Amino acid sequence: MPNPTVPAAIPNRPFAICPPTNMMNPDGFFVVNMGTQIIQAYIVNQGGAQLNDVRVYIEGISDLGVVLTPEVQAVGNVPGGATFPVRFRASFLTASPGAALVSFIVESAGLVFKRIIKKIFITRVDYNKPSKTYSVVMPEGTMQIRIHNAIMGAKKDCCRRDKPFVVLPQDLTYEWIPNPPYAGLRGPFPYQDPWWKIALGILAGLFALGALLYDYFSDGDLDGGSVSVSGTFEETDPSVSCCTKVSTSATAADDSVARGLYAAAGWAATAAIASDGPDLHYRGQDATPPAAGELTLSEAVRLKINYPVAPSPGLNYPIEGQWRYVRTTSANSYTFGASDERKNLHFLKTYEVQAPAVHDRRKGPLKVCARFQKPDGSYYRGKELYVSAVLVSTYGANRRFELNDHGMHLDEKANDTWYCGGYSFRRANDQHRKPEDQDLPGDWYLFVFAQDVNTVVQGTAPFDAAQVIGGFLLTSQLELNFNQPCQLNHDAVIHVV
Amino acid sequence: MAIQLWIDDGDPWYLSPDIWVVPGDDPNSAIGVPVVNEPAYVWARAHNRGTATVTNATVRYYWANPSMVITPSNSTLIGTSFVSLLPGETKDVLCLTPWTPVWVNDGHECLIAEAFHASDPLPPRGLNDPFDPPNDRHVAQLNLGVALALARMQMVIHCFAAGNAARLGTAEVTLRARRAPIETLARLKGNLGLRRVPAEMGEIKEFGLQPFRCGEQIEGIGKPQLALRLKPGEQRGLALAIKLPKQRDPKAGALFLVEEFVRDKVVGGIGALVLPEADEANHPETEETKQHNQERRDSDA
Repeated sequence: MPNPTVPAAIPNRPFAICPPTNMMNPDGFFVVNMGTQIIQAYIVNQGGAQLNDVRVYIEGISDLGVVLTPEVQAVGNVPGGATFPVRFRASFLTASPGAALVSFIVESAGLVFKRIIKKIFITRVDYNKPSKTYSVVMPEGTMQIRIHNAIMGAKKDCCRRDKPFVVLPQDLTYEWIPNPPYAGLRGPFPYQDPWWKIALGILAGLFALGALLYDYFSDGDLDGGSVSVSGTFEETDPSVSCCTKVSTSATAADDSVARGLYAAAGWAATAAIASDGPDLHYRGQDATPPAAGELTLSEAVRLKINYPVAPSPGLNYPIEGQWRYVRTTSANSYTFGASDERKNLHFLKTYEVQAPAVHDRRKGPLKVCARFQKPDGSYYRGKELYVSAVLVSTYGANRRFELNDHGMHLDEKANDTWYCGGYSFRRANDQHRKPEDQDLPGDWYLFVFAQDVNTVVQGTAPFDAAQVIGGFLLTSQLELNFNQPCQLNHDAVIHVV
Repeated sequence: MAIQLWIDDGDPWYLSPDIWVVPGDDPNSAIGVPVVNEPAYVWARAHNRGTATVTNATVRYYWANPSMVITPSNSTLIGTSFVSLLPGETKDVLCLTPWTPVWVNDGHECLIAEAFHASDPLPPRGLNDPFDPPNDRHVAQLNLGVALALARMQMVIHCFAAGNAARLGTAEVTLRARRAPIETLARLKGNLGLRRVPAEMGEIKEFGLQPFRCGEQIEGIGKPQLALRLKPGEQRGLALAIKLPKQRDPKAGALFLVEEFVRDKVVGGIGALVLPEADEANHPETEETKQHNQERRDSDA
């Protein structure tokens, strides 16, 4: 009788991690412009028994343009019912926008390997200089986005570089060009899954990250040129005083920590006003049924956003918007408009971080644990969150790691709501290496970031799938301010000896 | 022999049982014959017959027009996969990039798969050097065309190309066509989605080779052997014509092999399988392919 197959599954869509920030992209989308990204998936041991000597690798990716760095991940023993993450690095620079398939091979001692095939979503952002229009390319169409006005930061002399860190759109038009034009009330959802507003979030996130990663978007002229984020908006309002530095750091800090948070802020703000429920395109479609025989050629939403308070991610801040939807068909034009007051729904009631005040490098890895309480008082557990941490030194070094609730390694019990992980400080100091490449004793500042995960199960109906979007930052370390410097508040200071 | 990767040849070597196709959108569905202009997934079976574990071995998949001499430059990469194998382990490896067969040479295409690793590399090969399955354990080839012998059909035509390569060191090649026992496909029937090997069709007296260009009308049968002068890199279109017996078992099939020789050594080959139309129970058809085949029959009629 042959051995049974490894009882493994990947219930949710694998998602993209941006390596410099170690944070999840909006809704886990892979973005061609971002180049190398990490494919992260949560694998669940569906059996009741422990799986021994688990190894995972990616067999293949359907998009020939995705260049995978092949690797076999030795996971170790996995308790029954536990969910564990795997992550693989791949370059998406030559990928095609669309849905791609990834096949994971899960092996375990004594069992027949399991092949799990999952979808991932890939998009690309282009820029057209003459029209100052960004395009987010998706298989069902292209979202063309013009930002008429935006709050940008930071103010001059506040940051080390004269590059925008904060981009909060105030007035924008985002126009969906369905491909092909469709008949009836509405066409297919982008990727058959998220709302049209996902394009806004991806762009908002990229404004901060784009500067970090490549400092340009490809432009639509195909002349080999590139454009900086600066100057691509019609008007800007330089009223944000955010500083790029970790405020608690004595000498320097890692820009990418701040950039990841600023990207998350832009993504959350645009998503908040565009609604967590049916988004503006959806509502506009409902209100403007085209006549029989007409084909919808484009759907534009002009959205004006008012920020009563600075939209710090992870807080239940209010946000206001006025919007007007225009459906252009092969024969007519239909409009609908409304004003909305909404709140950011992606926040925590509380979260707590456990870390030692003093860590002795000789006594093994530093262990950090955290748990995150939902607004209803319950706690997140297992694969519901992607939790990353960064240790920032006073001399410019940063060390990143993940926290998991899988009952493995430093995490004692699976699904007990405590996410744990750690970092092994290297003890040997090398005078020939740069300080930031060494783990020197002293104070290290700890930040723990929690992002929600898109938990839609593959095969869910598009309308239902669209209700769930992942990748929102739930922790509130970044305090955005309009009239005073922003703050990055650490979760702990650890004195390393 | 720390790591020794194999994709096995068939018998004859160009009918590898280690390569197969799953037509449709689901790579885990039934094995079958690819359908023109519809996606299909290619699989290969990789073996590690060495003594060391291999991690992240690369498996590459190609398709090519049916030709006797297939090189990297006249084939198309379908996709790339990775596989890890313990010593003595065998795994089926999926090419996750869908392959959509195109309508050339009556829909017949050739598939090639190769497995290699930095510690067990491929032999040196230029872009115009032929894949060499009989002498290279890393690579295998499935070069088999399938035609349904419709009841009213009197002749089956199978188109392909003869070729030459500088590495073969010749200016003349010889093509020979022969009938082979249909039991030759015993190891391969699973790859074709056949439940059993069809019965052997009665005697077929007339079959042969002849030069052929797309669009030309084929009148005669040709000869079983043909000598061609070809420059290195040159290809020439040929057709294998098979005259079917008028009275034939509606559940019987026939297998023909065409091989290219250089100095009595087989440098390439193609199988042409004539399957009985009436033996529907033996066909791996899904509802979709049934419909497709029906449409083809209707349009043929």
